[in-house]
Amino acid sequence: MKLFFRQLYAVLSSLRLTVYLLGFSLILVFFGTLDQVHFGIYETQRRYFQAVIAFWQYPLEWPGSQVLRWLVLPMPGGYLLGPLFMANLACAHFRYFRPRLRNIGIVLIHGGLGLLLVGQLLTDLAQEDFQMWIDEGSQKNYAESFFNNEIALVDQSDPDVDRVWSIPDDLLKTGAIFQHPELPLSIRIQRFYVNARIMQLQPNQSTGLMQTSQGVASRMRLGVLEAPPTYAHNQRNVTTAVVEILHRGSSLGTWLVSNVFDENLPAQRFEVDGHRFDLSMRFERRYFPFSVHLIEFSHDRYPGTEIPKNFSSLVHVDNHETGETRDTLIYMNHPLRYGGYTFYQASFANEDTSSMLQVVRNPGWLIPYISCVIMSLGLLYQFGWTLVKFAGRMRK
Amino acid sequence: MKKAVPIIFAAVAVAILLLAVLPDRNESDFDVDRFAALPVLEGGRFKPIDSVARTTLLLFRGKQTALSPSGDRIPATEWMMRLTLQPESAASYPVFLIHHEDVKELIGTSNANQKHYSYAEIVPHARKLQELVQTIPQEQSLQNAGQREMLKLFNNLIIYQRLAFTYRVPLLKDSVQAEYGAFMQALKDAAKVVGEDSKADPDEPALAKVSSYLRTYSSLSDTRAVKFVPTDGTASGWLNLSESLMHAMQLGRIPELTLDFAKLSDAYAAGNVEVFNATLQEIETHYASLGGGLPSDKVHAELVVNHLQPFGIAMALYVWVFIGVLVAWLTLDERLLKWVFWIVLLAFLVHTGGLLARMMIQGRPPVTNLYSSAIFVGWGAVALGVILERIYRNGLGSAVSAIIGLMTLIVANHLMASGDTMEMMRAVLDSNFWLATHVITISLGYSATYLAGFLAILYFVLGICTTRLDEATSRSLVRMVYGILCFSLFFSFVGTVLGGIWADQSWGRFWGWDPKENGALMIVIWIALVLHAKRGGIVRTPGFMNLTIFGNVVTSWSWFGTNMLGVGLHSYGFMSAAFFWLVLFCASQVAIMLLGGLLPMRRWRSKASG
Repeated sequence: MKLFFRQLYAVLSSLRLTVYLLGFSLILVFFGTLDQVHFGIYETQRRYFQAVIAFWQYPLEWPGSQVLRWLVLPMPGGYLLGPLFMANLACAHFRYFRPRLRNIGIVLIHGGLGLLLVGQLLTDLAQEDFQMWIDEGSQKNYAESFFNNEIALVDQSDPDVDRVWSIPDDLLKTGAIFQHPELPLSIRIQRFYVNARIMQLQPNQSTGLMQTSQGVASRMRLGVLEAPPTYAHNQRNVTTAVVEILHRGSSLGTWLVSNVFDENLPAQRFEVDGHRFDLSMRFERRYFPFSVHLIEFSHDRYPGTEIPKNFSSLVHVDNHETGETRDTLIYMNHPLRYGGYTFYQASFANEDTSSMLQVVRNPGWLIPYISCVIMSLGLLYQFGWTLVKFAGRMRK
Repeated sequence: MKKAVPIIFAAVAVAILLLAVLPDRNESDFDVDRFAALPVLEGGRFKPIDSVARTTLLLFRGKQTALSPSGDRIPATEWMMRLTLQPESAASYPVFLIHHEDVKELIGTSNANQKHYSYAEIVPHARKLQELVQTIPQEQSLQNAGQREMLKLFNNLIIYQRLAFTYRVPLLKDSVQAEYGAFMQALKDAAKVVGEDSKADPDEPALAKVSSYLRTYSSLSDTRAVKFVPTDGTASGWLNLSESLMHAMQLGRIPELTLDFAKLSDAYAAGNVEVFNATLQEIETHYASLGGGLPSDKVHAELVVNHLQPFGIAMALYVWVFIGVLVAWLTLDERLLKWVFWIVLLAFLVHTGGLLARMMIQGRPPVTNLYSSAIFVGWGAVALGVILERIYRNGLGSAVSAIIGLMTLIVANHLMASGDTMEMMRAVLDSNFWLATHVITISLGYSATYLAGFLAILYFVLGICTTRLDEATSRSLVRMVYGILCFSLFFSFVGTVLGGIWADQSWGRFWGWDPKENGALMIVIWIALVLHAKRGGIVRTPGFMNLTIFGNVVTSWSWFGTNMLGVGLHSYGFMSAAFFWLVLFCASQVAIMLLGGLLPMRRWRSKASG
């Protein structure tokens, strides 16, 4: 047993392991770049860099894929390489390095690298991304998720305050039932679709389309069909569910909710015990204790061209809690950092009257800055040392 | 005799330089040079009309010259003059390069050897072309080579037609001036009618006549057309032909410069050299007095750079340097090696001059797009190579400088064909601070990695093919490569980090695993691997050199491969020229690695061991 640990220590502290780990990192990053063509950035990130083992499959579009399609290449993923790197770093330093002046650089480089890896893990776990579409002259106090959806039940009985219950989509499963002590009803997910096609039912047609008895879909004769999830960066999944509302053991009917049903469709409303509820599937929302009011969006072009010179949003931030207000211009490379969130100019629409701000929360955002400064200093010191030694030798 | 060799080499280098400074051969009596210098506002920036001519021809036929109907090469500006002043006569100049069978078939040509076609030959088939173009899928990856060329030809035709009406309107009367006279007369008549009765009948002949003029003139050019008429002190006050004629309605007269160009066109059409040259001089004074926010010194500098083509000179000198090093090595001529070093320096100076001129004209750091990155990466590698040569004086630094300098400039030359190389920066890139820090450091990282990679190739070439690789050379090569790799690791790492910080500033995340970021990371990982393998004694000299050569592959992937991901790799049959060359380059590197790694050292001609 002691021998085993000694051998393990020898392996973990070896430079050979470092070289192998670097080699596997290169492979992982390469295939993790290549597969972005198929899965988009976010899904690839999940499959490669946030996985213990990643698999690359020969793409269907490449020549000879009929034969080579079965070629599946497994490789260590980010969550395997990261800890091994950390172990290797720690053991190697413990085993080889003595506190000497000429080693300071090496220690700094590797210490910074360790910090960088930890920071990346923290970002992976804690970073949240949202988007915020605002029309000129209007305001919002929430941002919406890019990918995540939620089923929202809004109690609108009180004219002053809406009460919102929401179920995030990672809890949504076919057959799941949701209850809340303050809700006089329960929600049963009859069917959940990550991606779906919603279409008009033809008269007298008995297709495999799922139908509902209440709400918009039943009135407009819409049915739903399952579709494979998409990863394309310019497409979104049509996340959809057939929801049954149960009240004291009896069913009030089934509703179709989908994230493509927008404000243009009538709200799906029903009453239980004198409470008026709105039911919907929407992009997961993050409410802020402040609101952002878009005063003006500008889109400048170079004279005589369509080449964009600058996009900017002039916003007014109004914090209900602190009473603080301020006007800020958000433009390219100049985000607004406010309340733990960062607001970036990301997109625009409606003939330059709507602006999209990307909203990011990353509590670890400073770590890479610090670790990179440490590593750069280490590199500078170490290679400077080599250079001085070299110059000295040349002089002789 | 042997003493003369270095002097001959130096003399040829100087001759290359002098040849470039000589003025262009100008056979026409019209003052082409003065025409070339005319300032215009196009693509969002001021430039001489000569630049418009050159970039247009690069788009049309991949060269900066035009062809006359008899097939002779003529300067770009001479063609531009014809196209903009007398479009009817320019139509027979074969300036459109067409390769693909499908496109040739469309034009109905039977001659398989004909590569260049004139506007007159293509335009009868324009409608059919347009119909076909509308059926081509939008997404690039779904288009085949023939469709891509059709699309390109169609876009080029639009550019051609737009350019033809840069300075003058199509003729209904027998001269442009008569045309404008009639237009002004019609305006006056119409004003009279409207003045008498504000509710004038729109069918009134005077009004109908004006509106017919206005319809024609307003349709002449879209917003992208070349602007040449300044109205106030700002760049946004410049007008194109159509706008200047619309402006005449408010002004009550046609702007001076528009009239000048009418006179110029008429003189050109009539072959009246005297009037033509005199009018050009008038126009020049007009621009000088009007100002209009025109940066004359930049426009002039661009004209000079267009004429001198510093990167072309540098390329020729790099070729010459490479030959010089080879001769010096073969004849063991140490003196020649010293002279060659001066030629490298000369080439480097010319290269630097071109780089600085571009920076001055653009008012930007040196790297703003793929084209300028090629020029800068080459420049960085040559700079490092020159330093190496200064230290070791064994010709290795000169040889590698010449090879990388030449290769990167060839790459740049090919990238030029996609249009204006000094185009305006898109919004997110419009930040001189980040361009100057992140982009420069990352490019220097590329430079150093290539330099190390090519030194490693030299190691194998010298070892396998010659007897020059002795113990000392081998050791100095290892030291060079190791030092350069350290340099490269530092710049690649710092560059990648700065990129992360820029990304954090503009998108809110430090690292997003985006292809370009991954590419930069791969260089850092690879160099770290090579240095660790060397330090840990896991590889010996040949293995170390082999790993370093693979750095060329990683860097090329990072530099170009990642840019092709979006358009190409996922589409079956994708084989654009750039992709082909990238694959070929990478394959050649792997081939060298295999040769170097597999050929036992006893079979090498040099007997140095690693």
